[in-house]
Amino acid sequence: MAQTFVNNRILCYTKNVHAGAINLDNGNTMARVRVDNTFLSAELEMEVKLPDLKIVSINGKIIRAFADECKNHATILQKAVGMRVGSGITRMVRETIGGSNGCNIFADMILEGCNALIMGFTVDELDKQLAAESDEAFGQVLVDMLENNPRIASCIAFTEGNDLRKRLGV
Amino acid sequence: MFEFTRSKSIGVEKRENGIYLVHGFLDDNVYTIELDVKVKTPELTIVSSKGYMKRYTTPECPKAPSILDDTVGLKIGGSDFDAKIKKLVGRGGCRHLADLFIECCNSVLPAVLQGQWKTARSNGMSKDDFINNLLTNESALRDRCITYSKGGDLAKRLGVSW
Repeated sequence: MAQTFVNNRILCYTKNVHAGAINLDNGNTMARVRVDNTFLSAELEMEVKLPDLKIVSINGKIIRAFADECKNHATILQKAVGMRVGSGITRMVRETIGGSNGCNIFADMILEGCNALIMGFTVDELDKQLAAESDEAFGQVLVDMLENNPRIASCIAFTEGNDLRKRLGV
Repeated sequence: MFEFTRSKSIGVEKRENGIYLVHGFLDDNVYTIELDVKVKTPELTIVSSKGYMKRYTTPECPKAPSILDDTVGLKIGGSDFDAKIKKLVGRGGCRHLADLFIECCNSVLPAVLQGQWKTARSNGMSKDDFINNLLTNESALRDRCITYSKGGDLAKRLGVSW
């Protein structure tokens, strides 16, 4: 049936988040995060030292906000310097950078940056693993991934007794 | 040398009878995920949730969105909401799907506020008066962050206290 009537489906709220991580010439890694939504725009960049994964520098800015006062709290980011990107960082960032005496926007952005950094390492590994050129080789890649991955029950792929494990005899 | 980028895009549309439909899209080097979440307001209850894994790493990944059926009936908000979703959707399905799902859910309240602000503005209300009203009437916003904290610069400037 031809469409004859269109309801007003204009979006009342939009949000875009972009996060990325790259290697730097000094051997460290830089994560950059940008958030744009109906109420605010913000950007953040943080340098993480390898291999200890410590945040060595961080800068951010609230460019646009519903309440102008939001633009005045970027110094709070310096509390993240020295934090290690690893176990426990989510709680530490939420309690130190976010919360009633902090900025939840910056806290979310730091965690987004940390995720980009960790995913950056994962991509390299996945790229090698998934380069298999036959079904047989790919099956072996999956066997290796399931047998060697310590993240049991971390997601549906690593659940004990799932179809994939049964099929591959893992 | 590694390089990774992730984009997440959220759009919220207001539908009939207090329903908000949230579209979420995640695209990065490894995954492409789409989500549609319907939320009933003012209760902020999830009434439907559908997801689609378009790019992934294992044959199990496309099954992950089926776990979203278990989110129907959950109420958005509360200090343990994110943790609950990370466990239910993340561990039971996919942590990247859970990440996008949380992003979608957290966009409903701002969408509601945007609607209220649009109406208030068209009635001639100033932004300061709107914020003052919010802080006076919406306890969920008070002390949410340093800007909206009791005794903060904003509260002082607007002369609001609680």
